[in-house]
Amino acid sequence: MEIIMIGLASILFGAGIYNLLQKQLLRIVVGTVLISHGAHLYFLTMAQLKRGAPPLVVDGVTEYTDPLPQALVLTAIVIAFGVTSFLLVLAYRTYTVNKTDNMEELRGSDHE
Amino acid sequence: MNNLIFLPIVLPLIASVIAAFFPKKLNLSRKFAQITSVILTIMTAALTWHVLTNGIIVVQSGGWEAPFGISIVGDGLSMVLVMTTYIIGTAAVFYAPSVLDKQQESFYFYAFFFLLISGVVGAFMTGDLFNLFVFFEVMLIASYGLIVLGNGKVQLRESMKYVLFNVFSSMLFVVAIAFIYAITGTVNFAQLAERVEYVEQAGILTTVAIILFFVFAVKAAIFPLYYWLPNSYVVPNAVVSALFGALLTKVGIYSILRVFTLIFVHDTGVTHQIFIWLAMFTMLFGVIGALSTNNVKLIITYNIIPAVGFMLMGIGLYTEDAIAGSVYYLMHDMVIKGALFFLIGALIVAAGTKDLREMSGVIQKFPLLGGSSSLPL
Repeated sequence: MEIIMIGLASILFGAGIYNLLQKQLLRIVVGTVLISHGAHLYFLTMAQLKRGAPPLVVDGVTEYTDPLPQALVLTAIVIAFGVTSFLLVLAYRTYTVNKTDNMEELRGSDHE
Repeated sequence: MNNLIFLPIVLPLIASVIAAFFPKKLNLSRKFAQITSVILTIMTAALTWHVLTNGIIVVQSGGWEAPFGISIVGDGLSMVLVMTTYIIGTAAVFYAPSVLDKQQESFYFYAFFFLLISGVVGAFMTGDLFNLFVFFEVMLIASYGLIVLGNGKVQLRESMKYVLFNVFSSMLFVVAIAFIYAITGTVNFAQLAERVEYVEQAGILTTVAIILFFVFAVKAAIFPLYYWLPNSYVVPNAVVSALFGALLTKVGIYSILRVFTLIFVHDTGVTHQIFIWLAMFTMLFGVIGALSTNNVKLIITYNIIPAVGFMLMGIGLYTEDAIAGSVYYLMHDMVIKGALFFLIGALIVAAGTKDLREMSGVIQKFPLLGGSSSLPL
């Protein structure tokens, strides 16, 4: 199971990086989303997916699944969600003000 | 007394929420921000004094032990940096009304400001790698809010790059924490420091160390990764640039200092040797960048980069004296960069231009400004 998850995370990372290197602003945002999904999947997989009972204190169960990475990944997902929504608004605003969503045209070293 | 160590993190967060309720009432929000930051500074000074005389305070939040609960650590290094942060923050709050225009100020400047302070202070005081990531994000999200204040064409263009770069490095941070958790089974700094000694695959730790270094180096603007910094720090308002230049890169270098003097200390031949080379190039290219322009604000912005190089050099040398020098320079640079950006902001207003060639004779009109400019320079 872990192998499949790692493979999936790698595909997400690869697709994310590919999109990040595109010129269109929206594709870049999608790229960051894919990379964040990949990172979260890595986090879950790194702590092993299933290695015993649910993390509840019950008599007779000694092997517990580690609950900590799931709590941590939940925090990371919420953060990534917030940042993504901000990024979408910023990308839209940049597009309306600069009249272009092409990163080639958004380069430059003039400071007003 | 021990639980009071949370106050420097929690109170600005509460102040940020309160300030978000009345952004349009400028007089009220100015007074509120000024009074709050003065009270916070005095309180932090008392806490710092307490820590420096009575020793380190460690608090586990909610009474949960270290790997589950979040530990907040107030030791000498972090308290001194928190104190410096509050001094700069207070200065910024009193400076802000005179350089921000009314519209920028009423668009939640004070709310974002307190959020930024909370994030920076939290990053300084946390005793837990994942919590460091969370406070990095708090700080970065506040900085995203501040960098787009003003909504100019160039500003949005450069903010976009700043945000993208930081989002990417944050995601790598998550991956690095995942690796560390898989290897050691903890994210607490103190436990990590104990456990890395017994980890048998030492090579993998060095790899993780380099990934973490990449993340912090992006934030701290170290040589190959500094190119996002000049353009995005020069576009926002002077007070925002001052906060960024004084606080944000310093959090990155503090994280490097913390992680590479506490956790990844068993293979200094690889990691710390790289630091010395990168520090050299950082200093060199930062200074060349500063020489390349006539825009005064850009010159000061480029000055952030060699300063970071100096601190990294101290960490790379990895002797007691070198690290003491780095910490001293860190505090010094926070204050001086803040002061420089404040003065340059005033200078641009006074001279009416950003171009160094057209800016002459300002000292005759404003002798006090000229005199005080020579102090940080």
